[in-house]
Amino acid sequence: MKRKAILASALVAGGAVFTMAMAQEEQLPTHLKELLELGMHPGHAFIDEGKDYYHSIKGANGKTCASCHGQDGEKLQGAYAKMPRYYKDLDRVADIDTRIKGCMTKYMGFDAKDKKFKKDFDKKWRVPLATYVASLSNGQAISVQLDDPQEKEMYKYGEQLWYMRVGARDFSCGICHTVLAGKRIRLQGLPDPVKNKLYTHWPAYRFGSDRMWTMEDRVRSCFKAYFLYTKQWDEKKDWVKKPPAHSDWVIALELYMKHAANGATIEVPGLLR
Amino acid sequence: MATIGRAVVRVPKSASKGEVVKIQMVITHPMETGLRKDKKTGQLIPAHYITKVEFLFNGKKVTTLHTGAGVSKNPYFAIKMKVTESGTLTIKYEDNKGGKWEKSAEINVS
Repeated sequence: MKRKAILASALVAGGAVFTMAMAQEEQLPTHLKELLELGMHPGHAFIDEGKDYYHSIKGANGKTCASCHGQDGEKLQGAYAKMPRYYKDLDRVADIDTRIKGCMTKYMGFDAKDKKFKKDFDKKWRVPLATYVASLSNGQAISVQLDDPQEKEMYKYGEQLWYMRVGARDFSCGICHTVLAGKRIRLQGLPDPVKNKLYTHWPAYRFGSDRMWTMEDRVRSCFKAYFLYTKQWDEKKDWVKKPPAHSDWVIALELYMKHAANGATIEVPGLLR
Repeated sequence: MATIGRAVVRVPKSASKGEVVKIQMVITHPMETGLRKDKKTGQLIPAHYITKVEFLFNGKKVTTLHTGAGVSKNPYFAIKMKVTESGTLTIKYEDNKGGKWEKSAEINVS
């Protein structure tokens, strides 16, 4: 009996050591820690630029973002914490990218089919504006509510998509980020965005590719890189495609992840490798 | 892609006399080395990088950084400086294609 007890205690101690090692492993790599300690990174240049665009972009109606939302985004504080949510004027659940595009085409008088606007919006305006608007909610807790029936539907769709295996590799988001979470791919640890409330630092600057990304870019790029989606898009016929920007597919996943992160504090812009 | 040459400078809001303060800045710049090829056309992308960053405090030179193609994209610079009086910190920087920019920030010393 005694021997058994000793063995059991040894096992427990072993377990404790093991969990401690796991916790240490999960800490940030030192170079990333150093970069965070600097207190400033290229993401902040995007906030600065977004602030300029917020006051300077003028549509055909002569309106800027500031003419509705107030100087320096007074009325937008805390707006990002509730996104994605259902908007009556757009008649859909929208995330930050979609909301900005909706504002521009609906109230500022840009034509959604105009090629120049499309190019400007995608290449120049979208990311800085999204970063700026998101940064206005810094320090607030994420609180995505599922009050509207459309939101509830979207949430269910998002949960379904999270575990749905698609593409040439027969992969799902959940395989890496739920089932294998905490393990590694090559040197990178796999985080669990649903359990660990990891939505707080998006949009984020990635110093591996030196680009600022919103969550929409991140999700779409995952589908292209890891799921091997092809160029044509028909979710019933052809599974192998990158989902179009602002589609329900992307927004549902965003809603699912952000709802899981409820209560966590927003820190934008984030810094990732 | 942010506009080339845009910079963000961060200085402490207030400092005591004789304190050593940290000045941080980030410049948005592609910093092309001139050795990379365009994946679509196969042509070399011409070199485009910051060559000089100059820090001036109240018109007096603090330091000059001579940078080259080895510096990363969107570079971060930081210096430590002893302040004895309030004034304006001006940072002038230029690249090899003739771009010249200036950015300034106020430091209050009490």
